[in-house]
Amino acid sequence: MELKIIDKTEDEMHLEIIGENHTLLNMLKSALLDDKRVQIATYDMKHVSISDPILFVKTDGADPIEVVKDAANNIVNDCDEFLGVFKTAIDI
Amino acid sequence: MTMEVDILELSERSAKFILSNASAAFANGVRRASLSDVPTLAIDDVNIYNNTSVLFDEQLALRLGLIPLTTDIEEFVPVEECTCGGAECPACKVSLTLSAEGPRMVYSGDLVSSDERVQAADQNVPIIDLKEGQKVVLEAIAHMNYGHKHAKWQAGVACGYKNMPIVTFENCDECGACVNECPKNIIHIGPNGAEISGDDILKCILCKLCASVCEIDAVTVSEDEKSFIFTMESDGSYTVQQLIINAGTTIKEKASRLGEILESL
Repeated sequence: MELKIIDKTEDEMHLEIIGENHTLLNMLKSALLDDKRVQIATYDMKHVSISDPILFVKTDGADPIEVVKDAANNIVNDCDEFLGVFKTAIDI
Repeated sequence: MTMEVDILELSERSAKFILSNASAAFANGVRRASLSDVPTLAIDDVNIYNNTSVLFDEQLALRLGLIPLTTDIEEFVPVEECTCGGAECPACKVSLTLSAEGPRMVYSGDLVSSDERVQAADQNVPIIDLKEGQKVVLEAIAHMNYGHKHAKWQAGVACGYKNMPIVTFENCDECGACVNECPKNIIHIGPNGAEISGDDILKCILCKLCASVCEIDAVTVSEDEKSFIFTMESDGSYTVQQLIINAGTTIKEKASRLGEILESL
């Protein structure tokens, strides 16, 4: 994974996430939209298999990088929670 | 609300479970990851020494590639990510040999692996029917890779989910129309009108035929947006438990990598 900040202002950011696809980006978008500081979160992939997705975030003034970082942490926590409950469930 | 997992069916190759209090994005992430982002071993390079069978070398190679091989995710890495830098070391490649002479059917179980942990997941996949005097001698190299590169590296097959159906009956006049209409035959007339009992609701396919056939609009069909009925199936490279855990771990790794890179900016 490589990141390329295409443009960034105080409350907006276009971020290209090289080597990723809908799997991560859809989760990221959903995690961003759950954040009260985020006004717009969306992403675009020109072609499903040859393009890299570009994430667009617009916040109410919070640093977009911080917001995306928090969203990524929330996904990690969700995965930990899922792995935890799944492992408990299959031990029965 | 914390996530909950309720296992409905579990065998070595397939699982059915309910995931509740999760977002649609998370459920879809797990599904997509198990189909395309869990790496597995598959035959990728074939050195053919002798092939006098009726199949072209290319067709034979394709058939070999599609045979699921048992994989240990801890022991192997995709070639591009290997520390050997593409030189193909034992951590990123496994060699299998096949040598057979007709007349007989050659099965996946006839592949002889150089690594005992890597075997054909099913012993009875037919590769080719050799006739009298026909011969196949080859070496097949298996590499690890991802399902989004080629379907032969897809560890999960038939992975999907549906939302938990919610069907309610109000002021039912017991006409029985919905009972006859339901394609899954899960509605029956109980003491208080039509009802669906117990786990039968899991069989509902949300077709809404019961609601459309009800003349007094007593039936409402909706879905729980936070609850998913998952069906997962593994091709045999992993047990289905490992597949689901690996899918969760893959997403976790991707997200934490993203967090790390943003941290270092």
